[in-house]
Parts: sequence; structure tokens; C-alpha cells
Amino acid sequence: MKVAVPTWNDRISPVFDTAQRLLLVEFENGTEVARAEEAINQIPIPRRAAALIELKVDVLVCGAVSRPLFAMLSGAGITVVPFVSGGIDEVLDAFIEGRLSDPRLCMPGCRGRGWRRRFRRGPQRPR
Amino acid sequence: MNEHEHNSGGSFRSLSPGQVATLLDSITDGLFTVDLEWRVTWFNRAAEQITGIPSEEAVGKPCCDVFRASICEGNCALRHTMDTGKPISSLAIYIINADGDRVPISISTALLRGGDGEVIGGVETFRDLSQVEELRKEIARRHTFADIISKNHRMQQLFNILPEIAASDTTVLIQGDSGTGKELFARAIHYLSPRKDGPFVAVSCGALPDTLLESELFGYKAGAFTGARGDKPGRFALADRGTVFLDEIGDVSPAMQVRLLRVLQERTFEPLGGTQTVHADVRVIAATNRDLSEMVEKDKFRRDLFYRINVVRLALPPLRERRDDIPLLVDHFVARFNRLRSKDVAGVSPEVIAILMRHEFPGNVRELENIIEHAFVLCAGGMIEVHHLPEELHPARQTALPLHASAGPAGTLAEVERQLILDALRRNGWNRLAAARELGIHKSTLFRKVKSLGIELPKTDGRSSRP
Repeated sequence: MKVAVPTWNDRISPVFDTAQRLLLVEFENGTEVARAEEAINQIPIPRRAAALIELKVDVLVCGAVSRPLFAMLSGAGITVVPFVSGGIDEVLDAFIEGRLSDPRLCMPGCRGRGWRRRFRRGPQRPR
Repeated sequence: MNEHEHNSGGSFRSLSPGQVATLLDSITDGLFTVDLEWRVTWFNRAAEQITGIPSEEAVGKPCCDVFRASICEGNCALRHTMDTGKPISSLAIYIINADGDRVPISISTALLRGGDGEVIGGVETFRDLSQVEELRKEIARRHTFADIISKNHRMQQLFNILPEIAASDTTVLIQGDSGTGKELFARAIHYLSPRKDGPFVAVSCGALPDTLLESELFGYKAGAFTGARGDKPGRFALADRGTVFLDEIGDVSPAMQVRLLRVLQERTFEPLGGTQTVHADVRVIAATNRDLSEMVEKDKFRRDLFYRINVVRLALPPLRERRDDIPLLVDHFVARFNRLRSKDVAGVSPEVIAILMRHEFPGNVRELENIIEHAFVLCAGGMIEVHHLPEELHPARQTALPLHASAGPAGTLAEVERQLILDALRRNGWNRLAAARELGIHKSTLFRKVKSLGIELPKTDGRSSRP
């Protein structure tokens, strides 16, 4: 399973629509096996979903994301966990341990918002 | 610190903290302050309303996680002010609010100083420009790539190639039925291209008779014909270093086709009554709702012109072939008309979505936009219900019409039902919930009917491909 996390200053990038760098982490049986970085600053918003498909991303853990882009990503079959904030390592640890719904990792104002809540329910166990 | 800052600080010091809070909460602009660690220290009521974030959740958090602006990463205005001491005023950006909406705002920044003048943080004020921005777009029709809304896979394929097409400066032919967004795509290509700072000039070729179209496109010189008192530049001249969008190119006469061919071949033209050849530094994007290759076969369109404009062809699918976009587009238009009409319509009811998902949309996205606009006239607030829709979409009228071609030949009731369910499932990529929504029935009812009618479902259920 390949997980993408937009990064900025070792934290999750605040807005995926304008994020400039993407960290790609590959997991096998819950263990990280590969890590790479990709520049996405030249990729316009409507192309971002297709770019993630080309990068073979299964799950995107990101900060704020606009609704149209969220729909495009989901429509492309990518599982999106939006409105996550925090340091990259703590977010990746939480992802592996299925703790992304921890309120400390939720962006302000986003706890319990219906349109994204369902993507936080239950642990996100890597395959 | 300048005198103004000092004076305003002095007068504030005479107010109690409660009075300052009341004062800041009473202003209609959003306002927040940060400390030197970039943590939010104050978040006023307007800021809560614009961002959708309660003050108690914002205070103490990194400002980028709260504000979520397009410029946080890289071009933070507040950082610029904190680094240089210089304030920034009225910078237009957008933020993502708690509902995931992109909210256009204008921001101003300044340093925040303590009682003895030392810098203790920064202050940012912001104004919601949603309505202004929507009106501006409405007037200037300056929609960008980001305004094209779709999650449909065919549209995604077009999005993939659009930036490359835009960068190439080649002539583009956009084919699609009326209302599929040909001009929106043409504008997107222009604003993504190196010519984005030049003008985008649209001409509807089908709307003008030949003589008018000629003077419209190429302009005229004084005295070219009776009444031509002065020079008038044509659209090709007006679009210098920009893009000319020739809509309804399939409707131009054979004579005009020859003139257009010359512009495309030699990049030159002569204004009516002019003697000097003018160089045309323009990119041409043409569009049509006709099948040009068929017109070429029937000698109704010049083959050489067809090859000149058919360098890159984009075929836009009709809305009935991308029904999965209907809920997304409905959402988009509801948000847009809320901003334009200053209303607070929450959305559309499941029954309305079911009707829209079943509709054939001969007028495509524009028809859907008109349906929502119609509903906005009748709907004062809350949800758009079936009775807010245009009369021809009311269920009583709809049942009198065939739902779609495949439901046409009537068999037994069970056969028709089986066919309808199968069609809805196929159209929705075997997603049961979406199919049930389209059919206007509960998903349990759909499951029951699938079982009783003996419909076989594929192993993958389509959920993974939907939000």
C-alpha cells in the first residue's frame, strides 16, 4: 500500500490544493519498506488526482482539501483522509496504528464534520 | 513605531480586555492575531463565521492549520510582514473553510506590538470576497481550470492533457454538444498557456451573417463601406498575443472558411478596405457542436481548414454520459447561487437528486445550471424540493415520458423494473447506493429487488470508485 502525505516544514501541508511536495511511503504488512519525495508544485488542481494515480497512491493523508478536489480524488479510487494536521512522523505513526481520528491530529473546526468524518472512522490498517 | 500605531495603541490601553473583545467582535472583517511562535492568540467572531472554525478551537493552534490559505506554503503574507516590518494590504487569496469550500478573501497584515513597543506577533484581517468574486466571474467570465468541476474518468483524461495542450500554442478544436462547457475549456486552455496575460477574445461565428463576421473578425478601415467613419480593429487584432475563440466554427460560410484558412496558414489578414497585411500573433481555439469530419465528407466544410483546426481535438462528453458528476455539479451551482443571490439554500433533497440523475439533459451542464437557478427563484431557504423544480421535471410529467431508450419496449412490469435497475447500476459503476439514489428508492429496497428479480451483481461493488 502506498500512502501519500503532502509535506511542508516536516509537517502536513496545510492545503493539499496548493501543496508543493509529496512524501510517498510504501507499507508492507504494517512496515514501512520505501520512502520517496515528489515535487507537485507544477501540477494544477484538476490534474492532481490523475497524478496520484500515476504515482500508484492508494491513500492520501492530507490537510485541508477543497471539496471538488476531494471528489475528484475519491472518484479516482483514492482513499482520502482529509483535515489532518501534525508532524509527518506522528501522522504516519497514527496512520499505522489506526489513530488518525485522534482529535489532536484533526485540523481546527473539522471534528465531526459529516463529509469527512466517515473517512476517519475506524483504523486505517495498511494492507 | 510610527505615531499612528502609538496613538491607536494608547487609546486601546484605556479599554478593558472585555471592551477590546467586544470591539473586535463587532467588526465585519475577520481578524486574528498570532504570537511569535505562529500560534493563534485571538480569533474574532467574523473570523469564526468566514472560516467555520470556533474561536476556542483556533486559539493556540498554528495559524496555517487554522487559516488554511493558498499562500501559507511559500508566500505567507504575515511572515513577510514579520520579516520586513512592512504591512500588506488587500491581497487576494483563498482559504479552505471547515466545509471544504474554497473561499476567496482579501487579506491585510500588520505587526502587533506590546505596550513598550516591542513586536509580540502579527495581526491579519480578512474580508470574504465570495460574492464579489462570483459577480466578477459572472461579468468577466474569467473562469479558470480550477472552475471545471468533474470527477468523471473521461473528463479526468481531458484534465490530464489540458496543461500540455495549453503549453503547446497549437490550434485546438473542441467538440461537444451545447452546454458541455466548450468555452470554459477554451478559457482554461488560455489561462494555462503562456498567453495567459494576453486577451481572450470569443466570437460566436454562427450568430453573425458573413459580412458582419468578416468586419468583426478582421476589422475595417475608415471608408471601407458607407458609415465606416473610423478604423475599427477586428477580434484578431484585439486578441494580439492572446487567444481567439471561434465558437460554432461549423456554421461559417464557405467564403469565410477561405479567409479563416488564410489566417491559420499564413498568420496574416487584411482589414476590410485596408491595403496593408496585418500579422496575427494569436492562438486559435475553435469549437463546434457539429461533426466536422462528417461535414467534410459531405463537402459542407473545407477539408484543408478542417485539417488546420483539427490539430488537437478535445471531445467533451454530454452530461448524460457523466451522470456521476451531477451531485458534484449540483453542489457547485447551489454554492454559486447562494453567493450570487445572498441566499442560504442548504442543498437539494434526495428526491430531487433522483429526478436529476434520471434526466437526459439535452442542454447538458447549462441546463442543470438553469434548473438550479429556477429552483433558487422559488426556494427561499432550506432544501430545494421537487416542487421548486421546473414543471417538466415534476414526477407526474416524468412518468409520462420514457425514462430512457432502453426502458422503451414494455415487457412485464418485472422485466421493465429489472431493466431499469440494471441500467441504473451500470451507469453508476455498480455502486448500489448511487443507483438507489438515482432510482429514488432506499438501498434496502434496491437490495430486495435485486434479489427478487434475480439480478446478478459483479463481485466488485463499485464503492471503491465513489466518495
